[in-house]
Amino acid sequence: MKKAFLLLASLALCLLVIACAQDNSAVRGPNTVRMLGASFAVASITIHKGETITFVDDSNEGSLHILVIGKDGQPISEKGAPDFGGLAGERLDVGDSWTTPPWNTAGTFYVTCTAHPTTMTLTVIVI
Amino acid sequence: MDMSLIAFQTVVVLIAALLAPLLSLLYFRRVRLERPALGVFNTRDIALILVFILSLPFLYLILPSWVLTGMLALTFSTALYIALRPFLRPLYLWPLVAILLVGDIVVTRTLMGTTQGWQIYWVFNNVIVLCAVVGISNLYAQGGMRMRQVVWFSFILGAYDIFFDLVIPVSAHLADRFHGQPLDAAMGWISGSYSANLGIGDILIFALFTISAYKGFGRKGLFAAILTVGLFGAIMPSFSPLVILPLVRGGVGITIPAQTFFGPFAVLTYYLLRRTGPERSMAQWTSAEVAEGYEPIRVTRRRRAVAPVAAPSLAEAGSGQGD
Repeated sequence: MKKAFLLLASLALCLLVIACAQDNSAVRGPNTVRMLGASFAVASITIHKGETITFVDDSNEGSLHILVIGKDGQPISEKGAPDFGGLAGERLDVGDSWTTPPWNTAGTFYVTCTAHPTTMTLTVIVI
Repeated sequence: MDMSLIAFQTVVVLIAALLAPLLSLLYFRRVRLERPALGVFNTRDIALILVFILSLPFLYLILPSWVLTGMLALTFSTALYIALRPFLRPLYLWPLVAILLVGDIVVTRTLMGTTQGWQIYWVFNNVIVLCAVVGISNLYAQGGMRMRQVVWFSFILGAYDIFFDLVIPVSAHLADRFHGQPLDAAMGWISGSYSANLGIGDILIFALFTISAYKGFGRKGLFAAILTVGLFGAIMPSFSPLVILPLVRGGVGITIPAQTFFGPFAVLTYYLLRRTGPERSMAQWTSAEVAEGYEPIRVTRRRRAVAPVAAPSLAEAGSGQGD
C-alpha cells in the first residue's frame, strides 16, 4: 500500500514537472500577435512587404488554435498570402509561438482560427 | 445572441443527448455484459467515482497534450473493448479500435485547417464517444447501479458544474483545452462557422438515467426519462444563454452547466416515479425478462476450437458461442 502510494506520488510529481517544463518563452517582436482563449488580442495588424508575423498563444489564457488564411473559420485561397500549413492549418497549442513566412505581396489579407470561427479573424494589411 | 446559432446548438445537443441513451437502452435490452466480480454497486462505489470525476478536470488542465492524448486513448480503448466485445472477436475488435483511435488522431493532425476536416474529426469522435458511453453505462447499470444513485450523482455534479462554471471558470478552460485535441471527450458537430458539442460526462449521465429508469420502473420510467433528458438536459440548457448572461463569455464562447439544469429535475422525476411503485433491482428486472422468454446476447470467453475428428464429443463447444 505504502509502495503504491509512493509510486503514485512520484508519478504525480513527474507529471507536474513535465507540465511546468513546457516552453513558455516567446519571441516578441514588433509584428507579434498574441492569442487568448478564443480571440486575437488585436483586430488588425499592418506590416511592410517582406516582413513576418509571429503568433504567440498565451501560456496562461491561451488554448489550441488552428490558423489558416481566411475569414470566420473558413479557409480561403488568397493569392500572395504565405503558406499556413495547407489542409492541416498551423496548429498552436498553449504557450506555442509561430512565425509566418514573409508576406511578399501588398494588400489586405485575413487570418482566422478554425477552432474559434465566430470570434477569431485578424486583418493583415501589407504595405 | 444569434438565434440560428441557438437553433443549431439545440439540434446538435438534442441529438447527442437522446441518441446515446436510446442506443444504450437497446444494448441493455439485447446484451448481458460479463461483469467483474466486484459485487453490486453501492454508495461507496458512487462516492469513489465522484471523487475521481471531480478531480480529473484539474489533472487534464495541467497535463501536456501528448500525455492527455495517451490517457484518453487508453480510457477509450478499454471502453470500446467493453462495448464491442459481445459482437466482435478480438481478432477484429482490436484492429477496429485502433482504426477509430488512430484515425481520430491522424485527422486531428492533418485536416483541421478545413471545415470538412472538422466534420470528419467529429464523425470519428462521435462514434468513439457513443460506443464508449453505451459500454460504460451498461457496465454500471448491469452492475446494479440504481436510478436513485444516478439522480443524486447528477444532482451533485450539477452543483459542481455551476460552481466551476460561474465562480471558478474551470469548465470553460477545460472546454478550451479539449476543443480540437485528439479524442475530444464530447459529441458534437460543426457547420460553417457554427459549432456545438456536449461533454461525455453529461451524455453518460443521460444514458445511465434512461437505462436505470427503464430497469427500475419499466415503460413509464423510460417515457419519463426521455422527456426529462430532452427538456431539461438538452433544450433548456441550449436556450439558457438567452437569459443567463454569465454563461456567455463576453460573446467569446459558451459553456453551459447542463447538469445544473438537469440534476434537480432528475431527482424530481425519480421521486415522482417512486410514488407509482418501488424501484426494481437488476435481478428483479432480469427475472421479469426471463419470465417473458427474452433471451439477450451473453458475453462469454471464447473457447479454443477442438478438432472434431480428435474429440467428436467436444466439437459443439468449438462453435465459439459458449453458454
